[in-house]
Order: sequence, then structure tokens, then C-alpha cells
Amino acid sequence: MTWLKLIGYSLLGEFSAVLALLGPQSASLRLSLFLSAHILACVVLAMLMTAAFPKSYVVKRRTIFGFFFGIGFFIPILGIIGLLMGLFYFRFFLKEGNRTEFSTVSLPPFMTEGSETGPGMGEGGAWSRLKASDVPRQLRLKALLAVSASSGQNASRLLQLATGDSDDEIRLLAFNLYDRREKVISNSISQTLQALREADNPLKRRDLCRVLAFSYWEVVYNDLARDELAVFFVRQSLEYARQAVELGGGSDPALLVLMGRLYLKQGDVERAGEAIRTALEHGVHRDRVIPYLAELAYRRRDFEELKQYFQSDPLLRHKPGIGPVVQFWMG
Amino acid sequence: MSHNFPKSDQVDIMLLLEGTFPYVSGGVSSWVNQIIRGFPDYRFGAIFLGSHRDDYSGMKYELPANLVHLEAVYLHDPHEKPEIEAHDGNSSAFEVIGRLHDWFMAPDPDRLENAFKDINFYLDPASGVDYRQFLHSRRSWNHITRMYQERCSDPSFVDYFWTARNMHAPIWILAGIAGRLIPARVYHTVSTGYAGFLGALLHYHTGRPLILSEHGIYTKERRIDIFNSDWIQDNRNALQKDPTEISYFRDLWIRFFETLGRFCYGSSGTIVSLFEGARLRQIADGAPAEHTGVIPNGIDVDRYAPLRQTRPEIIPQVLTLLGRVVPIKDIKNFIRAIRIIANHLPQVEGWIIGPDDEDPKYADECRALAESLAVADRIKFLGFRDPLEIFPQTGVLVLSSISEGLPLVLLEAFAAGIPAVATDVGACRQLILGHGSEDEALGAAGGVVGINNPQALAEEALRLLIDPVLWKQAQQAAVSRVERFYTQQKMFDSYHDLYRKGML
Repeated sequence: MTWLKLIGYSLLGEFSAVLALLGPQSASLRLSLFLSAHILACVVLAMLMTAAFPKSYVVKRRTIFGFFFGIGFFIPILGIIGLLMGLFYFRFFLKEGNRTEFSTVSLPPFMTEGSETGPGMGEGGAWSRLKASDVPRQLRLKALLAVSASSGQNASRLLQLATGDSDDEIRLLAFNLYDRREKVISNSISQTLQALREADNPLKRRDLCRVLAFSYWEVVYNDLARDELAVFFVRQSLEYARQAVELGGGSDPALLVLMGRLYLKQGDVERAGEAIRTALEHGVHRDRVIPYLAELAYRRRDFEELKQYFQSDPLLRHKPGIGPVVQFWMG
Repeated sequence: MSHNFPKSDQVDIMLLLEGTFPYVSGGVSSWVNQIIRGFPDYRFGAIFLGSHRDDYSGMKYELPANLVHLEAVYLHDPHEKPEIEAHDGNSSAFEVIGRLHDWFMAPDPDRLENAFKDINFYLDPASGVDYRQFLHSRRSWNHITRMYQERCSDPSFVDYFWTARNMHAPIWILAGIAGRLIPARVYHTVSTGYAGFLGALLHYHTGRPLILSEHGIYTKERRIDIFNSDWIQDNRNALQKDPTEISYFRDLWIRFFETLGRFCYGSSGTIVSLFEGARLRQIADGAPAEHTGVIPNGIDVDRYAPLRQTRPEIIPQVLTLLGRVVPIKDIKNFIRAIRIIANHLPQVEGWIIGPDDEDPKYADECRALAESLAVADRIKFLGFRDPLEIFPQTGVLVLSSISEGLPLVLLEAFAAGIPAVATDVGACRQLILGHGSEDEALGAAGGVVGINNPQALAEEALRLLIDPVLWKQAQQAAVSRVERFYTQQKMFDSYHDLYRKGML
């Protein structure tokens, strides 16, 4: 409702500005009346446009505000109409772009016929076979098994995707493979919780809390929990990491880095920075935390500092994961 | 254990039951109990096929009066073996076995050796390969070693040998049963597998018709078990292992059950499934389309209807999962969903109603998961309970399975006026959202979500728990659907027809 009111005010402002130009007053008075009403209309519309602008493209809000204000101010009437159209589009049609899962086109005929797939079917090959429903089931099952042989987030994500496959066989095998991964960590957490209940001295409790923090994190890291469950696992991991610190683990650099990453996950940039700086003070190797420091700089929109971090380690651009990010920023 | 079993010298219908009634509780067992009691004028017999005697803690059902004959056979218990003595074995019969194993590589129902349909092939040493020859003859050894050398990708011959022995031994036990079983006018198996194989042998031996009613798809469920099992060895080392291949022994077991399935499909005059999707799956697995048909489950609605009046005004904040605590029910998915719901409704409880002694290791894993998710106090493992006692306290029934047929428990909950959220397996979508325009017009009796998606499961359940209007609409749809399409009488009429035709 507030939006509609503000749009109404800006239209009223622009309309008044045009009327002021046509009035019987002196030229200077007409100009000042026009400018006041026009500026009011432009400010209100530029504010609305800035608020509606997709967050993922926002670098500095002031710049965006200035840009929209400029359009409105320097192109009277038409600029205002353009901004209104833009606002209408942002408000009702623009959706935050979630990355959609790609699906492949049909594989070339020789690929689907070749049952002798090499044992080293990579993630990409496995993915393309799994996503192509016209590939024979046997080959898709092989792809699934190849995925399960590798570890990490992508494999978990692929297995999770395959549990929604339309083919029963694929779905059930994927479920089984996914469940096996999750089971290992879940059992480890349960055993550690049991040991923690029985632990009778602070040192032992500290070590067990540390194990729990890393175990809960392992679930998130391997993408074995999503959405609200992932939030829960991050919270649990942080809780046990804090307990470990309180019990004397405050100088454990790995634990502090973990806390930094957990705070980053929660969007708490300040605490994340604090944890990583403390980890650095306690001897963690700078190379290990550069990606997180760079991410912190990115979250603060301090792109100069971000580039400095990437410059400080020339090998970073060749490392998997972070490498492409460095290449993007450093060219 | 067996001395109290009823005995008779002939029956109208012989039920062939593998791992179900009367020793295991669950949907299929309840259905068997329902069928026997639904036809009091017919004299039923039953053969229970189990694995080991110790795996079963006693009968879970009171035997109906018209169950006049019962036998229990444990296929993997130690049993009397023929005395060991050196002999060559029947050369022509082993040639037939060789051809059969070639046939397995490219099965064509029209080219199956007729010898395998004759129980004398398994019992008479002169015309076939009896148990003694299978265990101790030189030709049996030669056949196994040849198969190992030609086909096995696992390096361990010892494991191959014992896998082959354990896998095939029940065939001779079943042939023995087929040879001595009391006469029946109709044989009715509720699965393929060993029971289906026995049914096929009985059909070929006696000429009496075989009816197959498959609730879940047996080969699919065995496949799940085999994928899950830790006892099947994979002895390949890192250099021998191809990560795109499942272990040879797992594959062998799967192919074995597929073959038993094809044998049973080929000999069944009537192949019943619970819903269209299952029927198509049976055809894909080798069932002749012209012998297949669909008879949905039905329940005694009147038994549950009074519960609708005993429900509290407000929706109980209890989600109930009624089912055995076994991997196929994916209890863990339910526990994860409770974790998510508890974030929004701290007072929510998840009740798991069903025996947890079938897979104690899995039950322990579920408890461990509840603990690691900090919902151990919200999840209650209540064991086997009468649904009549549980339903009035249930807000929403949840089914988180990875495989189902047409779950009776959904129908029972509907009849008691409880909406449900279930995974999109088996006939769950059909039961909750309807099948066909008339059914769909009744509305949704809850929600359907993908498997292994606790977030979606939680969101659907939460939607019903917190919105009394939506809940009421779902309840109305549930009650209307079960009363119109899934009554016990409809099911009985269909089976009465089948039995009547079979006994002609």
C-alpha cells in the first residue's frame, strides 16, 4: 500500500511540475516551482526503484539511486514514465534468479551405444548420462555408481537429484547410496554424543565437543542436509564449537577457522572475521584462510581488499574450487 | 512350534506366503488375514516360507477358523542333508542345467526347458538332478567351476561356491514341498520369489490354477534389500574394481530373483496388482499382459468410521507413521521432517507405530538420528499398537516409504477421518489425490512429496497441522474416497470371482 501511495505522490509531483510550467507566474518562480515538484517526483521514484532493484546486482545503493534519479531528472516526463515502467517490471515480473538445473540434449548415438564405459567416468560424464532419460537404464545405473565412488558436495547433490528420478531402479539405488553416506556421519555423531554424556573431565569434553562440531559441519559440507535441516546442522556445529572453545579450545586454529566458516554461513560477517583473525593469531597458515578472508571482503563490498588477498597468493588461481573465482576477479 | 498347526487332507485354496502372515505383521499379512476371514465358506491352507526359525518371535495373528491347514518351512535353517558319497551325477540332466544357465543370459519365456516345470527333475535322480547330486556330484562341481571361470568377476571362488549353494538349495526344498503337499483346488501366492516358484511348481505338478497377487513388486523389494545388505561380499581390490559396476554377488542375487519372478509370471493364470503402475511394471518384468489385472485393496470402513466422532475438536499436534521400522519405510526421512516441523511447532510429536525387531540395527540407527537431530524427546517409538487406539490422537498420518504397494494403512487412516502426507511411491498419489476425474473431483486427502525430501514432507504436514480449514477439507476428501472406491466388499467381490473361476 505504501508503494502505491509513494507512486501516487511522485505522479502528483510530476503533474504539478508540468502545471507549474504552464502557470501565470513569473518565469523564475515557474522554474523553481517546476524544479521543486520535479525533484520530489524523481527522488520518490528513484528511491522506489533502488529498493526494488535486484539485490544480487547491487554494488552501491547510492550509485543506483543516483542513476535512477538522473534518468528521471534529466528526461522530464518521459524519464518518469520509463521509471514507472521499470518499477512495474521489477515489482511484478522480476524474480530472483535461482540457478536452474540444466538438462542435457540427447547424447550422440555412439556414446549411448558404448556400454564399455571407462572405469574413470568423471562427474561430468556421469551427470550427463544421468540427466539424459533416453540413455539405457544400465548405462545410467553405471553412471550413478560412478558418482557414488567419488566424494564431496557434487556427488551428494547428484545422488539427491537422482532420488527424484522417474525410473524406480535409479531412484532406489540413488537413495541407497545417499543413505549410506549420511549414515556414516549420523552414527558418528550419535556415538560422540553418547561419549560426551559419559565424559567426566573437561579435557575429554572439549575434545568430544570439537569432534561433534566437525561432524555436524561434515553433513553441511557434503551437502547431505538442505534448507532448514542445513540451518540446524550449522547451528549445532557452532554450538559445539563454542562449547569446545569455552572448555579451553580457544587456541585451536582449525576450530577457529571452522567457527569462521560457520559464522559466514550464517551471514555474521563481523564474528566470522573475528574468528578467522584469531585463527591467524594462533598460527593457522594464511593460505588456508585466504578464500574466507576474500569472502569477508566481498561481503563488505571491499573489492580492493578482495583483490589484494588474491594477489598475495599467485598459486591460488590454479587451485580447484577457488581458482575460477580468482581468475574472474584478477583476469 | 509346528505341533499346534491345523492340519487337513485337502483345501479349497492354498496360500503360499513368504515372510508374511502369520509370523510377520504388516500390510500384506493384514490383507491375508482379511482375505481368509472374508471367505468363511472356503477352506484355506497356507504354507509359510521363512528364512530362519529364530527370526520370528511367534504368531502375530490369531488363526482364522477356516484356515484348516498350516505349514511353516524355514528355507535357510540347517536341514537334513543326504550322506556324502562320490558320484558323477546325471549327465543329460546337467546338460539341461547348462542350457538353462545359457537361457538366463537371454531369457525367452517360450524357450524355457520343460524339464524345469516337472518336480521330478528335482526329486528323481534318474530323470533329473536331485538334492544329493546338486550337493555332492562331480558334474555339479564342474558346472559351478565353469560358471565361475566364465562369468564371475569376483576373485573369491570360495564366496562364489557358497553363494551358488545357498542360493539354489531352497529350490530342492521347495520341490520337496510341492511333491508332498496336500491337494488344493486353487493355489494363491502373494509374491513371486520362493513362494511364487513353489506356486509355479504346484501348478505344473497338479494342473490346478495359480493366482498371483503382488502387493509390492517382489523383485524390486529384493533389489532394495540387496543394495542395503552388508553381508554380500565384494572381494575385488582397488585395481580390479570398476566403480560403475555393482558387486558380482549382488548382481547374481538380483538376477536370481528376477528369474524366479519370470518363472512365476509364466505359470500364473491370473496376475493381480494393486494399481495400474504396478501392473505395467509386472509386464515389463516378464508378466504376460493378457493375464494381468488390477484389484485395489479395500478395508472394512465401518470398523474405523466411529473414530471420526471421538476425535478432539482441535487437530492433535501428532504425526503418526504406521509401519515396520525397516529401511524401505525410510523412517529416517520422517525423523528429519519432525526436526523441521519442530522448528515451527515446538510441541509437535512424531509417533512411530510398528514393530522394530525386524531390523534392530536400522531401528538403532533411527534412534541415533533422532538424538543427533535433538528430537529424541519428540519422537516416540511405540511398537506395535492397535490403530484404533492411535488414530484419535493423530493429527496427520505420514508415510515416508521409498517403496509401497497400495498401503492399507492410508485407507484405514482415511476411514478414521485422518488426512495423510505420503511419498510419491506405489499407489500413494492415487490414494491421496485421486485417480480419474470422478475420484480427483473429491479433492486432495493430504499431500504427496518426493522420496528423501524431508523439507517437502515437513512443509506438507505443517500445512495441514496449522490450517484447520485445509485439514477439514482433506478429511472430507479422505472419507469420501475410501467410502466410494476402497471398500472391503469391492475387493471381496473381485476375489470371489477369481476363486470361483479357479475352482471350476
